[in-house]
Amino acid sequence: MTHLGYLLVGWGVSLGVGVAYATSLILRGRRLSARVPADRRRWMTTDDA
Amino acid sequence: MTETLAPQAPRPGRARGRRWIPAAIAGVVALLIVVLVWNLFTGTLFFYNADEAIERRGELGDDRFTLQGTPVGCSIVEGSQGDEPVTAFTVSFGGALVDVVHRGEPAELFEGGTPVVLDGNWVNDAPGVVGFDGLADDGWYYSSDRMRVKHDNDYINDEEYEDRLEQAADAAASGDCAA
Amino acid sequence: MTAPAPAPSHTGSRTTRLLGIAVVVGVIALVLLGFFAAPEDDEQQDAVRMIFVHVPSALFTYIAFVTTAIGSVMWLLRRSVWWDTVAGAAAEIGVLFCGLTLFTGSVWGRPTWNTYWDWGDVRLVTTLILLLMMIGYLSVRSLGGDERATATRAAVIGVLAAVILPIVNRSVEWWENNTLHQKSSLTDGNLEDMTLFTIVVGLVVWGLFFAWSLIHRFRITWLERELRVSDLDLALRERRAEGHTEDGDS
Repeated sequence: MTHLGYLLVGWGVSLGVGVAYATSLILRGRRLSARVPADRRRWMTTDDA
Repeated sequence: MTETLAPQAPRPGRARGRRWIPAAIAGVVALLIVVLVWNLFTGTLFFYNADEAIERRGELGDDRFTLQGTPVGCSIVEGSQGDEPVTAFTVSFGGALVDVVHRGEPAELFEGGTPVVLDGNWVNDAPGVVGFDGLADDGWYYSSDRMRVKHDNDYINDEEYEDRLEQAADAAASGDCAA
Repeated sequence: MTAPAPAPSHTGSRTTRLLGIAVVVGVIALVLLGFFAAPEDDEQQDAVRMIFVHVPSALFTYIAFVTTAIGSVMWLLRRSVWWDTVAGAAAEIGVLFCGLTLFTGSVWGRPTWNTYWDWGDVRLVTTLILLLMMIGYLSVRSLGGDERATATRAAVIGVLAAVILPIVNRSVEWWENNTLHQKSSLTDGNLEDMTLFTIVVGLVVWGLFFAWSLIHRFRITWLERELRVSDLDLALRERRAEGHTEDGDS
């Protein structure tokens, strides 16, 4: 396969940044959820949890 | 006593103290945008197609400008002058032909039929590259030192493509550019 | 009578879990299709495989910033906090996608154009300006202070950024002599069937990821707002309690 180095960098950074961003969102969500009173997490329903 | 119950101004804390950071980022961003827009309007990449470059040859003189054209496959000659690799070829656009001498390594995708964008200037002389008989042959050539490829949006795996490249190379080797 | 279920300690839900699973499956399929099923290109050879991450990033940059613009307009017209939250969430994801568009385009450009970047290229520079505008948008959002004034300032930038979206998109048509960038691969290009199919798979994966991220980011902003409100409530209660104590002491 030609240009494998460029491909690995381009694909690797794209997927890596996506995974890093997704992880940061999950962690930020968990951290904030722990600090917000339960009655104020209004978008969440019993079924959806 | 009611005064003590009224909402009071928040105490200056770390969060407030750091408010200058996004403000500074916003300021730097605004400045960068102005610089980039100015850069665009000065048109540093703006290129003349081969036919336009010939029309404007008088006013361009020996100023540096950017040229765009499609290399004629059978005209390509690769050699060297001293230690420096040299590639001579003719580009076409709008029915006009320009002979080019490029000093330095050609672009990886450089080949006949794929447009190139070159930085350089007109030279009123013969190209002087051994084995290169420019198709324009008008007493001028374009001396280039930077080459970029302007590929198209065709992403096709043509089975006859390699055959056509070989035919063009054979034609060049035999000096039969009309083939 | 059943007791209410405890509130979850995260921003996930059944929808986001399904979206997340679909994204993971989609990425695996995209890697297999992009590297093994899609054919190489005559001119670019295997470098063309960058198109499968570059085009989805570019298209969802537009979609994210259009979402921001719609949210901004809704804030300006109706003072809708929900739409303002959507606008901010979409902007952050859009900045991510826009950065990836520039990065993958640059890495793709080195072997194909023979340069990573050209400061005079109208497509590249207008895309960078768009990215900077949206970084400015996020900076303004994080300035703090009066929330309504901040949202209004950010919304104006969000709408202005949308104005340059068509310029970025059409630049390769309007200023042909100022760009190395080819015209649209999807609308004007000549693509192999499997290449087109793989691009479509990439678009679906990016779309699912965009939806997943938007929901999570929206909920984070919502939680941040709720936290500010509950902190304010708490502070007020404490002040009142202090006031009562002082009254009692005096």
